Amino acid sequence: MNRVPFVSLLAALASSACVPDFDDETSRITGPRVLAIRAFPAEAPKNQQVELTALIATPDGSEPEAPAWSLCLDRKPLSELGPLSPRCLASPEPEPEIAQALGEGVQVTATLPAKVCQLFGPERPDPKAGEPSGRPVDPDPTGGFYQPVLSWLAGSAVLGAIRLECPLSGATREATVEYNERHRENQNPELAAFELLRADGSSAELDAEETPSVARGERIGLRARFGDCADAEGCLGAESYLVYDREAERLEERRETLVVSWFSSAGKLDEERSEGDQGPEHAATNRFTVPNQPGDVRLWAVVRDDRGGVSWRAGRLRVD
Amino acid sequence: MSFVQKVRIPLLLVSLVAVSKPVFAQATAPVGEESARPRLTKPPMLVSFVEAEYPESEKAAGKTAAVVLQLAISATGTVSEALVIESAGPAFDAAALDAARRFVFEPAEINDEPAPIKINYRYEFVLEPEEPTTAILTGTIRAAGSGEPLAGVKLSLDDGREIVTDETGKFTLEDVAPGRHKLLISRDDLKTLQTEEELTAGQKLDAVYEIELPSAEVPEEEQDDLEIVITAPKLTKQTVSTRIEADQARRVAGTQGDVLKIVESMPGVARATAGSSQIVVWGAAPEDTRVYVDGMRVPLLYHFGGLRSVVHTDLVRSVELIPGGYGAAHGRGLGGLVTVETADPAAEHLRGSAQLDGLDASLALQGPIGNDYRVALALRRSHLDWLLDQVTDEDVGEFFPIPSYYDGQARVRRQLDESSFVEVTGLLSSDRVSRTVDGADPADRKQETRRQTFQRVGLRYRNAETQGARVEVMPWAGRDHRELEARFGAVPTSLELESTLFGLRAHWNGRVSEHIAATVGLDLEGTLTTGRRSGSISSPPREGDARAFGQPPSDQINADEWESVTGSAAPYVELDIGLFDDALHVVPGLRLDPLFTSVSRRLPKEGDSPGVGASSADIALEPRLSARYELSKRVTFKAAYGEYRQPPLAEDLSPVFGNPLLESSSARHFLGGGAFQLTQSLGVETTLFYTKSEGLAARNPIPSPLIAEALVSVGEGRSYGAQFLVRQNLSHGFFGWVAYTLLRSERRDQPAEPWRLFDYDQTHVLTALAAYDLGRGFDIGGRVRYTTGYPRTPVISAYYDARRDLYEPVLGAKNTERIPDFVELDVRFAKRWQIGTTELETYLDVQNVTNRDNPEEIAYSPDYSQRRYVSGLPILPLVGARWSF
Repeated sequence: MNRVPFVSLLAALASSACVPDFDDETSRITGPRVLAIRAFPAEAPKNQQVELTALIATPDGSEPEAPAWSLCLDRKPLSELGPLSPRCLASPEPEPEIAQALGEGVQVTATLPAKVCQLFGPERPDPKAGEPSGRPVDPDPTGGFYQPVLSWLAGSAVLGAIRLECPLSGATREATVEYNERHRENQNPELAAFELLRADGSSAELDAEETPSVARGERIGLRARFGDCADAEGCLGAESYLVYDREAERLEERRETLVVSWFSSAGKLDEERSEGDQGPEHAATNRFTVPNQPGDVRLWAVVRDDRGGVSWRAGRLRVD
Repeated sequence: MSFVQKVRIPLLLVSLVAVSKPVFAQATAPVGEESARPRLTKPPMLVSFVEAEYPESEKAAGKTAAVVLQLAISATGTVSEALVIESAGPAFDAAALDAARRFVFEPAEINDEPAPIKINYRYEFVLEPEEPTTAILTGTIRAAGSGEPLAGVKLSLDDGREIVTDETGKFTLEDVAPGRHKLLISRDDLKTLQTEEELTAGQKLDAVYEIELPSAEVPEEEQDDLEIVITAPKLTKQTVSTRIEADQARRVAGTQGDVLKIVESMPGVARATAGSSQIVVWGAAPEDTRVYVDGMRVPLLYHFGGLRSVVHTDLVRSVELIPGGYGAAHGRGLGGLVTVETADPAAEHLRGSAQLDGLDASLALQGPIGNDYRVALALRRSHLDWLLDQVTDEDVGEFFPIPSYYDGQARVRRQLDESSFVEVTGLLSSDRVSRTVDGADPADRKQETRRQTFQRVGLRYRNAETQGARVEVMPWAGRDHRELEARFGAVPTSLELESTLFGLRAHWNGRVSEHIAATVGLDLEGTLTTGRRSGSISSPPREGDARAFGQPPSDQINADEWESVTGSAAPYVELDIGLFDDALHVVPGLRLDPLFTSVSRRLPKEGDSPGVGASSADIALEPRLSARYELSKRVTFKAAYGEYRQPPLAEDLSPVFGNPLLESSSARHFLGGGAFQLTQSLGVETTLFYTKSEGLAARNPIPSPLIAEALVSVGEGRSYGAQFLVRQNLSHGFFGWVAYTLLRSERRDQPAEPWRLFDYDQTHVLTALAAYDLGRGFDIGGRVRYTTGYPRTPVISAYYDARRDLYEPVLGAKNTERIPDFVELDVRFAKRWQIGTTELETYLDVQNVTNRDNPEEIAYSPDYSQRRYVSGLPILPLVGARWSF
């Protein structure tokens, strides 16, 4: 019995539809592109200054054009399913009441609005005359709220976010007290190393002064090692944090998951993203097929935690 | 060979006459000699009653009386002696004695042996308005196709009478006792046929039987015994409806032998997306169309995936779709109405069937238990999931949503007398579908599980004889459970609704005068729902959401738990006024729907604050009016208007995700059209329609809406168009139809917005289907469907969300592009074999014979730079077998 057609038939029957495959590779850098936006500090209260940095990748390592920045001040309506008010996206230079221009550069500074926790946080917006106050914003699965920022590069927008330090809302009094006592602000994770892993077991730093060489078409491993949580500067890896579970109506302690996004200027990555190993390895790994053309290949690893923290490392390979 | 009854005209007669009736019979003393200790083991039973002549002199004087007789009944059941023991005067006594002496009894039994006995018998003479006690069965028999009257055809009624049709093919049987009767139709050159008719007292049933004459090349023993299509007369007819009998529906290609799947092919019904089980009628939202099975509302007609209906084919008598403008008996829905009538359980002997194909297996049994009880039972379970497990090395379920379902129906009927019964019906259905996509990339991990179950139990009492009227009372109760568990990357979605439902439908209908029939009833329904939901407010998406297929849900999440109660007890009245010799029927109706809604929380739960409930009431008077004018035997015009209301959905009453104070939505239906009978079996019907709905729940468009107002009742909708139906009723083994609907359905989420296309709008819906009995047990059927694709919102660009590491689409104007048109050809072949007294039917149902690549959805690459169509089902042959006895 030829099983393949039969199985295909049953599978077709069982499926509601056949979803097509696409050949686009979002991990391939073919032109200047913002890969990440980092806020420092990673979590900030209202009125605080925050330093915003964009990771801009170019395939040849050339100096990128400076992006323009804006702070979105327009709350999205509930009927908008995306994360951002469409009015903030309409133009790089929107009306002042819609977005605040932050200037140009790879790094800019923004000051969080005084009412940011009402605009994008758990506090209710000011009521209109004769009306009760409005609906607060819903948190993300980590209990977080975010001030949207936009980085405009060559007319295209990239959405970044600053995690807000706002009071816990909607929780029981007991949970609120405990949360206030135990809550620690989020920190950006760090990548301790970005490494090349060869088939013979040897490894090399990708962002060292000396560029490692590889053969054309070679299969190599990539490893992004996370920072240590026992670091004197705080936890630079997967942090523990408190979140209020609205279903269970209690505080839960969770640990962040770190996910690494991989990018390359040439060659082929097996995975575009890898979840970090929280065990002894404390790293995320991937496999990479070196291109068949000689020359330099640029690689990037961007690590994100669940709470908007981000960091990155860039490296280079020489293909002989 | 088959014949078709096409027309039945009920006629009720009421006048004042004198009648006499027996009141009681009582055994007084056994008379016997064979036993020293005689014991009455069976009382005498009157089997032949003779009505006494009301003495003219007494009738003229308006006198009534009662005569008590003593009757001596012989061991053979005849009356050997009759004596007056309580006199009512000579005239009454003589009339009573004269009648009683001609009574015939089933003899009494003493010690289990027939024996003579004496009883007292009270004969009452009363004057009262005449209650018609018998019916008239009249009609014509003619050859199918040619219409030629068939003379000399003998009709044998089960009461022993026989009659032969005259030269014009006509016959009349008067004084037929009410109830269900078997009728044998025979002639030397015809195989004897049998049909059943249900007659009510006072009714004149005018029937037309079309008989297919045997063709010369087909041996008589291989011809079908009988196929009957009965369109039962209704006191009040719907202005626009499509009704089909089970035997025809199961022969339609693409239904896989499932009778109820024919609804997909009816005029006015949009084609559902492959894998969807939704019914979209005249541009109404799927949840706005109500489905009733034997008067009990059920939440869905099809199992998940739309592969099967929830009621076994053997138990279905007919299915009717009323797309709009329906009468006052139904409400609480803005869209169409699907009513499924299940068949009476078999009365003669045990019958059943077993069916097996690639989707599922089923079993149905029905038959009598004793003299008074009839039972029907059906069970079905899918095995597609099990089958895939057996033939695949990997878990296909991780990549394809494999529906798993079962359903069951049971009915026990007790026949109380010839005209009334009481029955208990139970329905249950369960569906589950799960899909998991795993991978190293956490953003690509998706999991979705949906479950839905329902159970119903109903008690129905029906009396169809009281002065030609019908009374029906049906209390019912049930439970619904619906659950969605999904995870898109790190974003969870959960929705669970647990409902307890109860209802009561009761009505009386009958003639209130020669030209007016009336229906008075009560339609009560209440639902208690416990809802639990967590996740993003945007997931699951709502109609009208601007979104792209596959777009990840927002990661702003919340959670809520609430309870709601909705209900109403709606009394209604409807008249059917026949004017101009019944050429014009005007049917005004009025329904009072006091909708009541109560929720456990007015505002979202916040900290330790106690919840405060809220309730609202909305009393609506819903007028309905329809008219039908029969210009000639071939041409009928019709029009209807109706106002409808619908309570908010329980899932929309969440203070976090919806609005506990949502108001009920309303709709008005306007329709008009005509029906033209081109030949005896070929008709054309056209309908123009316009529906307008208001108060639809829509997302609050304000950036900072008030607490507990995520939804507001400000949406509006309108649908307008025309539907055409050319229908060939069964003739010469052939039936079919061509249905075309031209429609535009629009919505706006707030009154100030411009109209946009409804998510389920399909401009053109064309369905052509046909089935032909080739003879020798072979059937062939085909179906062609052409529909416009559903509207979608175009993606004009995208931006990168650096926090979530994914792309978000930038969308254009809502629903301004469409999925390409859909075209599909389905065919069905079947062969029936007679094996003794049983029948085996095998069939091959091939969907999408041409293997056309039909787009069903627009999919986008992760960064929305590329788009392709998601294809529907490829060619799909399904082989099955059905054994029945």
